[in-house]
Amino acid sequence: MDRRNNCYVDTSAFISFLASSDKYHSLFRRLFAEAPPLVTSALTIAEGHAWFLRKYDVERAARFLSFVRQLPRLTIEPFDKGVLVDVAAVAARFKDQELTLADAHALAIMKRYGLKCCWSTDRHLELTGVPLAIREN
Amino acid sequence: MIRTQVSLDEKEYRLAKKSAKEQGISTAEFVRRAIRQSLPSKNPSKQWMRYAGMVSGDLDSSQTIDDVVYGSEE
Repeated sequence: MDRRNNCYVDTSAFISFLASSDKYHSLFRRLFAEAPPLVTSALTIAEGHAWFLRKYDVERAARFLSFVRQLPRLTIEPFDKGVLVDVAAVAARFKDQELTLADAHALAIMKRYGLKCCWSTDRHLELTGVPLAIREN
Repeated sequence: MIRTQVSLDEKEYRLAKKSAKEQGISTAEFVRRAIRQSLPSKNPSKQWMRYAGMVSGDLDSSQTIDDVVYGSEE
C-alpha cells in the first residue's frame, strides 16, 4: 500500500490534542478534525499511555486508549524483531541525540514509507528532514 | 448565551475553581468546557473529537513527555 501521503503522528501530537492548556493544542485540534491517514508506532501508544498513567491515573490512561481506538485510518506499526535492525541503525546514526526507542522507530517508519509529514512537537523527529507540523502551520 | 444555575458540592466547587485558575480561565468557562466535552460530538462521524482537551495539562505538556515517562535527568 502506498503510504507516502500519510502523516506520522507522535506522542507529542496526541498529548497536545488531548491537553487543553498545551501550547499547540489549537493547531492539533484543527489537524485531528480533518486528519489524513495516520501512521504511528506501537511504542508511541505505549508512551502516551504511560504519560497519562504517570501524570494522571488509570482511568485517564484507559480513555487515551479509547481515543486511539476511535481514530479512523490510523495504522499502528508493530515493534517486533523484524524492525530491530532498522531501529538500531537509526539510533546509531543519531547516537549523539540520545533518541528514545519510540523516536528511533518513528524515524525508521517515516523513512520506510517515504512520509513527508510529521505531527510532532519533538525536534528529534525532524532529524531526517521531514518537517514537523508545528513548523508548517 | 443562556444563564443557568447549577448546584455543586463544596469539594467539586473548590476543585473546579482551582483547575480553572490553573488554566487561566473563569470557573464559568471551565464548566462550559466540561459540558462541551460530555456532549455528543456535533458530527457523529468524528467521535474522537470528543477527547480534545480531555485533560488540562500544562503549556509545555507535549514538550516534556520524556521527562514524565522516562524521568528527568538528575
